[in-house]
Amino acid sequence: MLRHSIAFSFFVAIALLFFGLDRVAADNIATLRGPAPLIEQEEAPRMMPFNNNDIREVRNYPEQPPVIPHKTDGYIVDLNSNKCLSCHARSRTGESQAPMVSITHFMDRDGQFRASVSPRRYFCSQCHVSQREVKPLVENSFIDVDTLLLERAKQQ
Amino acid sequence: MTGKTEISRRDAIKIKAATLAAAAAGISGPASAANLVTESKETELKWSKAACRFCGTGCSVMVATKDERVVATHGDILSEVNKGLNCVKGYFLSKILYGEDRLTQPLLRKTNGVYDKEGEFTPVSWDEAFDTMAEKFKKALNEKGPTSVGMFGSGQWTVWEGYAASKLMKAGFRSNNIDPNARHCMASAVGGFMRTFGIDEPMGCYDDLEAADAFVLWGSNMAEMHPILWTRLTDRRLSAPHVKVAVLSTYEHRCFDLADIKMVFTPQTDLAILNYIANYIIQNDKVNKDFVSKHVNFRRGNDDIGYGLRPEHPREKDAKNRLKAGGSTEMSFEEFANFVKDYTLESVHELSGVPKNRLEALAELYADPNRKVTSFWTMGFNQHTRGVWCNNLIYNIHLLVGKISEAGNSPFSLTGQPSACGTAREVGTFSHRLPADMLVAKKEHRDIAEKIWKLPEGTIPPKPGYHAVLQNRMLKDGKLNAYWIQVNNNLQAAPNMNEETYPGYRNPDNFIVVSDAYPTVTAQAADLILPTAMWVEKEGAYGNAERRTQMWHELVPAPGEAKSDLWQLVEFSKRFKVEEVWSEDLIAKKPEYRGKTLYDVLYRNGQVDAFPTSDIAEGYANHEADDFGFYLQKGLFEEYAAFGRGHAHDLAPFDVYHEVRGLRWPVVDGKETKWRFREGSDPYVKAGSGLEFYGHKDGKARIFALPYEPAAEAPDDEYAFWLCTGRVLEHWHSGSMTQRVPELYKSFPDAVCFIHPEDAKAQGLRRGDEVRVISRRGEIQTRVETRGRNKPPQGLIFVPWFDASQLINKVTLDATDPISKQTDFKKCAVKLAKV
Amino acid sequence: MGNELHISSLVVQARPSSLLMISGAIAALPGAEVHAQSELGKLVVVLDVESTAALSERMDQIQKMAGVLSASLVFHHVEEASDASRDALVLQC
Repeated sequence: MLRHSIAFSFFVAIALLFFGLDRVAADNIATLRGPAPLIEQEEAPRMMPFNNNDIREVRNYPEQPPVIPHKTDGYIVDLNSNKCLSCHARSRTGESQAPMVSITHFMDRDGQFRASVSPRRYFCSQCHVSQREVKPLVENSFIDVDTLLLERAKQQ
Repeated sequence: MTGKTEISRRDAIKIKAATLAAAAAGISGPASAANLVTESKETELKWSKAACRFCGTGCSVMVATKDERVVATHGDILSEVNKGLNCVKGYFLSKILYGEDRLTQPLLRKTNGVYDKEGEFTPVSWDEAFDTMAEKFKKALNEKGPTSVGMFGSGQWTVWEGYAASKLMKAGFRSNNIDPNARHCMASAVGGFMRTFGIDEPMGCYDDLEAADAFVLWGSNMAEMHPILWTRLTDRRLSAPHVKVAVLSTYEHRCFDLADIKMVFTPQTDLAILNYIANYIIQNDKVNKDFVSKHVNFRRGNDDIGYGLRPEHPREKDAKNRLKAGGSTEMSFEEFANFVKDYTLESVHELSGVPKNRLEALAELYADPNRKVTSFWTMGFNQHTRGVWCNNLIYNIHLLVGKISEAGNSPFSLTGQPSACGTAREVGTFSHRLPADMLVAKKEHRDIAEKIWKLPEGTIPPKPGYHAVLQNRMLKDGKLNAYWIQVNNNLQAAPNMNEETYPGYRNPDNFIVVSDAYPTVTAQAADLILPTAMWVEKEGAYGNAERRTQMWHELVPAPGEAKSDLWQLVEFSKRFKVEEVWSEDLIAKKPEYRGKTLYDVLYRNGQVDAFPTSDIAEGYANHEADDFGFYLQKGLFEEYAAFGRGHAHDLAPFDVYHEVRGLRWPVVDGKETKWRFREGSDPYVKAGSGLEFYGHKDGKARIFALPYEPAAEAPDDEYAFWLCTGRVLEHWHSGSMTQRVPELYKSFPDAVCFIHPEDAKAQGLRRGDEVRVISRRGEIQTRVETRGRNKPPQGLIFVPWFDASQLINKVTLDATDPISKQTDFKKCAVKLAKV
Repeated sequence: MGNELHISSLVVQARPSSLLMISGAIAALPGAEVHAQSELGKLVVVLDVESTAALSERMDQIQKMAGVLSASLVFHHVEEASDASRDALVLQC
């Protein structure tokens, strides 16, 4: 582990030498905003549409709730009805060809399977979100476990 | 023999099959690679428990690590809080560590190789960073004394980080100028608890969610801000059809989707609605007289207490009780009944705009003796210039009908940060507090702290320090000069950024240090940035809203040279000799401390360093222990726990928390407490009393007579709209973690201005148009949103504050509750202009 | 049941990021073995089943796995339950 972290620091140092100095040397380090000074502001970004192509995105890990590959504006989920279930309920997937709500959603708080989706899972948007057609402001270097294992296999 | 031949023959066919397919696929050497991927050793993950990094709900999560990286997270099935669920933020915890712009080295503003306030951020070593910082702190201490140094911390500090910081500031530097960002978040709740019950934090627990017959949400958008508690509430409402949900807010939000009684009220009139309910209960003879006579007394609170603005502000000059905001006098039940009788259905309907039948339906939920009611509130009550009053008034209602401290009957204050309770409140990192609800202003409390800390009598100063908003004012005025900010993004979070926070940070007299994992706007406004280990890169403990303390181990190393806030605090203390920070007469009381460092006195005192590194659970790293040579977290925790044990704040032994999914204090004889003040559940209640509000000496809770008073700033002809700020489900607080998770960013990338379609039309605005939101203090540009999750009434707009490129706190007003000093981020007056 | 011998091989094209997960899942199917794979996401799979129906069922299962782009049959060997099989039965008795 020690060797690992030394190697890592070394890598960071090299990276800073070659790529990083400009960025850290500038006054403007807050990466989640544009180049405007803190007391000023640029044009507010336009509202971009939601991705609506129905192509499933690969999950980062099996436990991750899938993001929604279509727009959900105006979907009503309230005391009387749940628009999402009109396609994703088990009985509807034949005609909709949408993925069925995960089997975990039939489990109640005590881990018992119920006849229908558990009320604790009723509000879909608490876990599942649509995606707007925007580019992330900052890249994320999370590595999924498959890639990690492949890297390891390659090294061996 | 023949059997073996059979297998070989099969294998031969298989090899032929595989070879042909490999050739077709262009892969060579099929046989040698065959077993690689399914080996269990290779695909095995190490799963460990941790508390979620985000809100005050305190979900437990399971974290999978492989090769020193977090590779997956999911809701902990064994946790009572969330039973396997997470919200969308919690499910993406795995990615919050991996924003590409993690800070990995200290950065100091320099010109030509030397520190310069106007210089550019330059990588430096930890030594150079701490040398420069120590020099600035010593200069301030020498020239102006302890009140010129300060610290702004957080309800996201782990328990021991807050404790170590409090000790360093209050005992080491002898400055009470330490406050957490929980001041922006929970201070009014604390004020409410202390005033009504004499002891902080909810008496109930989340088990109330499965027991209540009605839920009333007062200024709490749980569907977005406490999603897992909302799943439990939804579960109860949909599983038991007799259950009713009432939602009050100044605009419609997602909770209204489940509401049976929906109420949008005019900002600030919640005070009148609360008094109307008390009046309804009295007028309809629904007071639980037995309960009230045994457990309650009545007080008349001071009114006309001002708005926590700078003293020269005209609104302050006129306020009669500005300096006695928390004062009160005795009164009788009859006098109280007389006080609330003006809050009639008619008058409150007029004032609040809520239809009469809904007000009555709401009041009846509380009045009906056969209905168990749980009330929830968060920032709608707390971020309020009468926030303590709101808290007092909701307790009034529950106390009048005796619906308290039992399953389902629960006035429940929710918290916004993961350890607002565990660290900010229980450790007492506020400028006026000490651990276990004690106060710096009380001699006997300081004595207790000094004794436990083995310090000379008189070390802790008696005068409360600068609270959050006052710190920014004092920075601007040049009275606070050396300032350290940890685990928060206060330039984005604090009110009135243009007039107070930013000029304070950039004041040439001041040296501003920011510890963070990422380059936030606060870091950009600082002079020194310290790269910080976050979440499971360090061992931690958090305390959630139901008094549950949870712990986790260090699971992965932090990138580069990043170190935990705890490491930074303790390492920095080595740079100060006692003689440099204490007066001679103080040292004379403990001459053996002469020549020692603050590190020796505060952290190597035979208590904090009492546990060897061998006590650390096998298989887990601990970067602080590697450097200091002892189990720092355990020592700090056990010393801290001494404050609460035997004083109704009992914590279990340290090691227990690494085994369980949290325990709710007081934990006595290994047993946690679900409902405080109730005999049979709370071991501190005197046998035979049934119920005892032991926080006050007389064993009673207090009902306060407090009036409706107007907001600090209301719309007028020029600034015609109310501005309400807040959060969204997908981002947590200032977005410094969640905006770096691509899936969360894409789900809600930029702030928008939610506005009623008719208001937009009248302003010549269409959905998606760029609009300026302007107050007397500043402005931002954002985009118009007339649809979606929030539906404001006419005359009010809602703008979330997570967006670093649209800093809505340039617009907000730094008016605070004069008792709690908490800012009202929910009400100020703005105008709109199309760009 | 079980009086035919079907040995076949497939080339499965998977998303590279899901490769290990998929190869694990395939290996867990009855009668399936992963013989090779490439970083580009290709897997060589050998199936040893007892009927055409079982073969098409396996192929169907593989094709429906999340992250699998295609699965094509390259080689298919069929024969009647052999004398050798009967020998094996005898041996077991």
